[in-house]
Amino acid sequence: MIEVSNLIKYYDSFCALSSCSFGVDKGEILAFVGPNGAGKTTTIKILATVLEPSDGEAIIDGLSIINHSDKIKKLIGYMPDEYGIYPYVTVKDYLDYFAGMYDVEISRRSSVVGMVSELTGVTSFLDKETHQLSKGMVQRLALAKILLNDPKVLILDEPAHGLDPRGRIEFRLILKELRNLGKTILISSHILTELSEISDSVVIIDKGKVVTAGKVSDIQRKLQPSRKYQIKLTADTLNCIDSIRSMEHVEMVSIENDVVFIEHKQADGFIADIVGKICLNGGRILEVKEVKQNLESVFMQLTGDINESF
Amino acid sequence: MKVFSRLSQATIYHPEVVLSMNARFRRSSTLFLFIIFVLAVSVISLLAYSTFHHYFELYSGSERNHGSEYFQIVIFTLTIVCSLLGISLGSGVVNGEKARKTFEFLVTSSVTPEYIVVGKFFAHFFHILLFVLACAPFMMMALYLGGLDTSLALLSLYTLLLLASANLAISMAFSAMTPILGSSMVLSFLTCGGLTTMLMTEAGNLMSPYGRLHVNNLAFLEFAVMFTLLWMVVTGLSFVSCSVALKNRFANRTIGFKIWILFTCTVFFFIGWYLYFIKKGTIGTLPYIAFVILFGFFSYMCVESSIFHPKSEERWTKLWYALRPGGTRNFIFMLIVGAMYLVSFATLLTSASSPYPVYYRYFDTIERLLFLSCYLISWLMFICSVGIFIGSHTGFFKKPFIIHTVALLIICLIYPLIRLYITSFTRSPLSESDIDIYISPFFVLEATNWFNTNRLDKSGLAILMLVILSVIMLIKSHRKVEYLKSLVRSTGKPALTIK
Ligand SMILES: Nc1ncnc2c1ncn2[C@@H]1O[C@H](COP(=O)(O)OP(=O)(O)O)[C@@H](O)[C@H]1O
Ligand SMILES: [Mg+2]
Repeated sequence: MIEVSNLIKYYDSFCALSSCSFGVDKGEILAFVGPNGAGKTTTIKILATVLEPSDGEAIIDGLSIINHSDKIKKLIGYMPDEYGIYPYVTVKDYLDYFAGMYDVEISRRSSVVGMVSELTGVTSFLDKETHQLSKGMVQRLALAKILLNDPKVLILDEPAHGLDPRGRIEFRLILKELRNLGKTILISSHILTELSEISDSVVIIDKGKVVTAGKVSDIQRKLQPSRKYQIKLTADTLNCIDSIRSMEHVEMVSIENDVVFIEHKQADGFIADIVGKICLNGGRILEVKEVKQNLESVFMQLTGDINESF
Repeated sequence: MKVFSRLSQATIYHPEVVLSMNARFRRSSTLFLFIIFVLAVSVISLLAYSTFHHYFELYSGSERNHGSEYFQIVIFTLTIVCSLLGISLGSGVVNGEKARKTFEFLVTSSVTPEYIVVGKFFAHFFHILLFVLACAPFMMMALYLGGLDTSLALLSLYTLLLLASANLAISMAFSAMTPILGSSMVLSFLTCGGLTTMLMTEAGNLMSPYGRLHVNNLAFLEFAVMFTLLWMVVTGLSFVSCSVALKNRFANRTIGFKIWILFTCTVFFFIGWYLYFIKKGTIGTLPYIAFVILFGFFSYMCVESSIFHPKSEERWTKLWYALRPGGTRNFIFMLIVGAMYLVSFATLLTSASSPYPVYYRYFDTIERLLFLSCYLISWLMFICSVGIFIGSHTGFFKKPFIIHTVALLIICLIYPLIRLYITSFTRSPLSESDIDIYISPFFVLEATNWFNTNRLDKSGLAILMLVILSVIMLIKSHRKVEYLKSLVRSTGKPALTIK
């Protein structure tokens, strides 16, 4: 659906994007992740036809962003990282206005606005004035605005920024609903874990270059070379874990306060073998739990020293 | 029928128009603004009526035509105010969207830039139209007074709307081409001021000095047609350049303020010389433009940057900073621009081949030349310090549009107010024309036409008065700036919301 190839962007002599390439399939959610200043906003603005690339090309739904920017505007919904809403108008007037600016016929405008506000949960404050809205409401209104033209592709730049945890969860639910409607969604964030749940693929970008790209599970594997489990045994059977140390993929076994920590190389279902072996040796297992490694720290390693990017 | 519905879609039912009307009529402040506006127009027109009373008497003698005179005053006031409104509304259209960060939503909607430009234009034009309609009572009053020439009245209303809308279009174009409000406003003032003056000169050819049209239907029609054509060219050009600037990604490329102002100045400079040498035309335009440039530039500098000139705390340095609120480089730049005009003004006026022998006569001795320069400079200084004063006291409000409008109204009021004060509240032994010598350099030139007496001593007093007033205002502005700076220092926040 979106094909970005060798995008390059210079701001005067500063190179913000150097040969950035990735792709998004139809109907998937792509997480576009990178630290501050990595070039996410730049890429997204180029895709949204707000900025012109210095070189390279991007194709959205078969249309080039360079030659067909007017057609592309009709099929994307773009939410900038920072945006304002016209003050002193009601939410309904605001949406009506943009419906007009998306060339929706007058007769259809109110039904389109109704549908979109239903979807984004704006209905309850349609008569409020825009300068009285909370941050979360503004976010929904912006989302409603970009859905007015029924876009095939949504491009969202750090949409969860500034929302409280509840707002984030609600926002995620709306995104899922949109995906079920068949929309392709590109969403950027500087926090990887925030998006890993809902997204299908990830592109990680740093200093204007794509560092890694792929399916979420692949990336997770790449980011987390080993898995760590915490196994609780009855105290009298603790010593039976010794047999595990010699198993092939096991990297580390340790005991802290009667809890066993096992780390093994990435291989699906390997924990079942370990549990089986413990049981065979007479171990009585009370609890098995995966210890989620901190994705953030791995992400940091991948994107280089944090101090450099500021 | 289809054409008609298309047309209404693009004008009164344009989403932009609908939104702005909704937004305006939702707020009570709009009503207040209208009330203030009507009050201001009534005060200004009454003051002006009393001011020009004397000239009307001079020219019409016993057969006065009150309706027509009053109407002229009202329409003149409205013309000035609406032209200024057009500029202040228009010059924030595109770069204002950027400042409010609503720009990207706007340009990524799927309509063409042309459609957006047309919508913005009509949204603001209808706003101006409402202001004009609010003044209908005054026009009724003129009708009631009697003697109003209807075709003349209609022509002037038409001219008024064309002028305001052309100014609106021009300033919209500048707003798309410059990054900040101040720049587009000053550039629009320059361009619109220049164009208006040229137009007025043209219109003046039709009129006797104080308002009597050489009634001649052909000339009448000719003027209307010529003006309409000019309007079409100017507005069309502005629309095109605004749309081109808005065209998707190019909107990011704006042209810096200084390049623009240099460009405009150079163009005006050459136009001035061209008019003088090739066409043997008027040079009255030049001092006017120089005046607007200096004033506009100073108020711009004040509004944009009156607070933040840090560095030294030493007294003289601080005073120096208060006197040149844009920093040294801007000051030098301003001097160059100002000098360009003063030099051309002076050479043109003093050259023996000047089309105005009376001016030449006035400049016959070097003392007189020096004196008049002093007068001119003190007036400029006065107007500039008004700009600084207003800028330093209002530059940090949230709504620059209202502030600018109010400020301009105040400046429009200065002249009639001073005059009214002198004529009505002091038992001055001076004649009315004497008073004009006190308060206006342009009227000095006019007055020398009629009275050959030497009024240099009285005018010297006026210079002194102006200088003193300017200094007082500069000191007050300086204090205000210091106060705002101390607020910024103590709160650590930019002073954007200080009231
Ligand atoms: N208008 C601009 N002019 C100059 N440099 C810019 C501009 N916009 C962004 N940059 C620079 O480009 C780099 C990438 O910025 P951006 O795309 O906004 O990063 P991100 O959105 O990933 O935080 C940054 O180093 C930033 O300083
Ligand atoms: Mg960003």
